Order: sequence, then structure tokens, then C-alpha cells
Amino acid sequence: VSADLATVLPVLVRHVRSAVRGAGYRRTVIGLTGRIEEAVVGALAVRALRPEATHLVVAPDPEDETGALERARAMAERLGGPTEEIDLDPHVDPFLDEAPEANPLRRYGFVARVRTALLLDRSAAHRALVLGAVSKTDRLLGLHRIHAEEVCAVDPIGDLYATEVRALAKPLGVADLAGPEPTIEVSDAGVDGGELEPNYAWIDPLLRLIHDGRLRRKALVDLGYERADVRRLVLAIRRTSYKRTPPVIPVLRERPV
Amino acid sequence: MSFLVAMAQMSPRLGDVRGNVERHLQIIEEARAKRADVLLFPELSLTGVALGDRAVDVSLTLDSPEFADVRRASKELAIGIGLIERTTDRLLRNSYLWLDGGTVLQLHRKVHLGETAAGHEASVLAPGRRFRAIDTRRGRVGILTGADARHLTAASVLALDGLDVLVAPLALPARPLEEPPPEAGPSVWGPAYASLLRCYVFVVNRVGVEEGVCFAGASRAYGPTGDLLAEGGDEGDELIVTTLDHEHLRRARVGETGPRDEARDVVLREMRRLARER
Repeated sequence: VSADLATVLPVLVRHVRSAVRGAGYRRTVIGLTGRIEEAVVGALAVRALRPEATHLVVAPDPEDETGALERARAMAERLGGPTEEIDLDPHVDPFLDEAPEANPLRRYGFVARVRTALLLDRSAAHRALVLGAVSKTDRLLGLHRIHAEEVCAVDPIGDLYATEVRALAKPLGVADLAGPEPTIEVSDAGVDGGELEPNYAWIDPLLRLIHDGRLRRKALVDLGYERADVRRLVLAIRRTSYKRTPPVIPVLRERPV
Repeated sequence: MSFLVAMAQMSPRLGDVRGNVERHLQIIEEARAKRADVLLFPELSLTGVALGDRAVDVSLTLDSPEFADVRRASKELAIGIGLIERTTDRLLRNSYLWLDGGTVLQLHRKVHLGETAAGHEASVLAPGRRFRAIDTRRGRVGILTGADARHLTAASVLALDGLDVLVAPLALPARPLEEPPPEAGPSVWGPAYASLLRCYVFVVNRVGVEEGVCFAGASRAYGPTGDLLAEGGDEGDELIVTTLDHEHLRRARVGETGPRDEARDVVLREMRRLARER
């Protein structure tokens, strides 16, 4: 962890505490599906409030074959908060009976949204705020599902790139709970060539230069990046902007909502 | 002649004027116990920052009863506070008051409005229209609120106006991962103003969290040779006390080029030319 990165830990803890209490709550709910981001957010929540105030809902994708259930259980045990395990199959099966033709994308979309609905229900049941765990990388590239992982009151890691979240897992004592590195699917957007590697370690530095650095395409090419890779990421950001903004409302008066 | 100046690094509660007045009175008591002559609070210390439309609900006039106790306390020590002022032209302004002898002795209305977690200040506030230094019992004081302090021209005008003490009340956020680090901030312009303008600089920043923004603290006092006199931490409430020494001002101004040597006629002529030509 770079020295700079370590300094954000106490800041993030303060943010979580203040946002939760400021909204009039004392408790949080976190869904655990085996992603390391969730373990990091969970560890922040435990530090900001108390382990007893951090409700953990283990609910990975039932079809997952990468050991997500074991990882999610291990995370819950490490974090030490009250834990509930939800089998999503009974919630998803009626949908699959009705739409047997649903492809994996539709099936998983339904799984993710059912999980979110259940998290919001637990939020009401425990008077607890839902914490999100979507990194800046995933948000910018639109890798998250709208109305699913992003649904939350506070996302403590929303301004951290995925590699930074992974780096913070270490000082938070949850780094060993990380699963296999996910393959990142950035649409090729009809762009040929390039050498984009589908992992965070490759994508994050370029994404930072594009977004935080506001570098123009030519400057990035001068730095040695392939024009096609730059274009692919820029298009991915632009084409998924609808996932990051409130619904479009045609403006008809001086002051819309 | 020397005075004790206390900087109140604190965290106003957003929109809670009554609670913030209470907190001010507590801190005033602490400062009095330390025999402070001047007590400076951060920007918008009575209201918090990310107000948006709520600004009108928490706005005050200079004689509002809501903070009469704070005005009254200034009979014993000068007090700088920040609030949303409802001005006579029916507009709202981000104002910083220098309370002294039980009344508002000096007042700065923020000219360069900035960005908050609730949107741009200019969507609800009107900008101020002047920079003035005025005489107080503790020296000639000028105030630059928030982004005003980042404008060289604003500080220069105050220096030409005979500034001894520059007060910069801030609500500056911490952005720990920003690159390059946001150090083009008070740690750069604070000592630069102090040494170039040969004045004391008190940078009073707030702490705490508002709507996803965490404020940076690190309030600082600089002497008239640019020397760091005192510094606050980056979180938590703190009362930072330091000495303002007029003898130090005199010594710093004797041998050095500064505002006293300014070629005012040249500066004014060039300013007039700019007003005409650009």
C-alpha cells in the first residue's frame, strides 16, 4: 500500500460513520457474494461502527463455480457481524420456470436484482443502511448492473480504483479472502487492434489517466498507449454513462426536480 | 503590543444554527480560559457548507437574535464567525463577520463563490463586491473567505489597503488521493502571502464530514516572514493558540521590500488600462 493510499483508511471510516449516523441510523447491511470489494467495505463498516451493527447477508450466485459461497462465508466469519445466509434459488426458480429461454445474462441480472431486493428488505427489517461495494473502475466502465450492486445509501469505495481497493484489503486484514481475479469484459466497441489486457492491473492506470488526469487521446498515445485501447475505454465510459446518472427527464420548466 | 489569537478548528453541524451557536459559546469559553484576545472560526461556522436551497432557512441578518450571545461575547475578545447573511437587497451571501466590542466591526462577503456537495454556491448565493482592510484594536484586518484566498489580486488589494492580519476562513475538503496532491493550497499561498505582504496570515479550516466531503483541517498561522507559527491536525476539534506580535510586524517591515514600496501609481495606472482595454 502506498503511503498516500494508507492515509485514506481513517478518512473512509469517518465517512461511513458520519454518513450512517447523519442519516439517523446506527446499523448497516452488506451483501456478500464473494467479491473482495465487499470484504473491504465490510471491514470499513466494522471499524466505523461495531461488528454487531454490521448485518452480513451471504447470498452469492447459486450457479457460481469459483467458490464464491465459501469466500462469502469466510468473509462473514472474519468480519464477525450477525450473519444470515440466503439461498437465492427459490427466489430465482419461478422466474426461470416462466422464462426458460433466459440466457445467462438475463438469469444473472435477475439474481443480482433479487439479491438487492432482499438486501433492501433486510435494511427495513434491521433499520440498517445498505452499503455498496462498487469500485471506481467498475462504475466508470459500467461493469456493474444498474439497480443491482450499485443500489446503496453509501458506497465507501466508489472513488477508489479496483487495484486500490485490493491494495486496501491488506491493511484491513481481508486480502487472503480474494477470489480469482475476474476477467474484465470491456466491449471492443467495434475498435480493431490494441493490446488491452482484461485485468484491473492493466486497465486502471490508463483509466486514471483518461478520467482523473483528463488527458487527451494524443497525449496518451505519446505516453505509449495504443490508440485503439484508449478509444475502447473512452467509448466504454461514454456508452455506460446512463448507469451513473439519474433518469433523463425532459426539462420543461426553469427548475426541474 | 502582542495578542493571543485562537483558531477554532471545528465541525459545524449542517443547517443547525442553534446547535452551532451553542458550540461557538462553548469554544468561546475555552478561548477565554486560555486568555485569547481573538478567536477565529472557519467559513460558514454557524451553518455548515452544503446547504443548497436550505441556505435561505438558515440565513441571518447582522442583528439576528439567534447569535446575540456570540455578539455579546465579543465585548471581551474579538470573534470571527461565518454565516449566510440575508442582506438588505433581499439576497443571500456567504459572509464572515469580525465581531468586536459587542458589534459587527468588519464584514467580508465572499466574492469568488465555489463548489459544495450541494452544488455551486452561486446557484443560491450572490457574490460580494469588495475587499477592504479595516482597523481593529488588534491591527488592520482583512478577510478572504474560501476561494477568495486563492486570488493573488484579492490579497494584493488588501495589502495595498494596509493589511496587518489576513484572516482566511475556509471549508477546504481533503482529497487524499488527488494527483498532483492539492498542496497548491494554504500551505503554499499562506506563507507566500505572509512573507510577500509582510503580514500575519491565519488560515482557519474546518473538519468533519458533510455529504461525502471530508474537510481537511490543518489550520495554520504564519508570521510576517512566512514562518509557520502553529498548525492544527487533520481531524477532530482543536483550539490552536498563537501570538500576534506587532513588534514582529515592525521588524519584518523594516528591512524588506513589501507593500510599503509598492509603486501604487504604476499599479493603478495599469489597472485602469486593463479596465479599459480588456
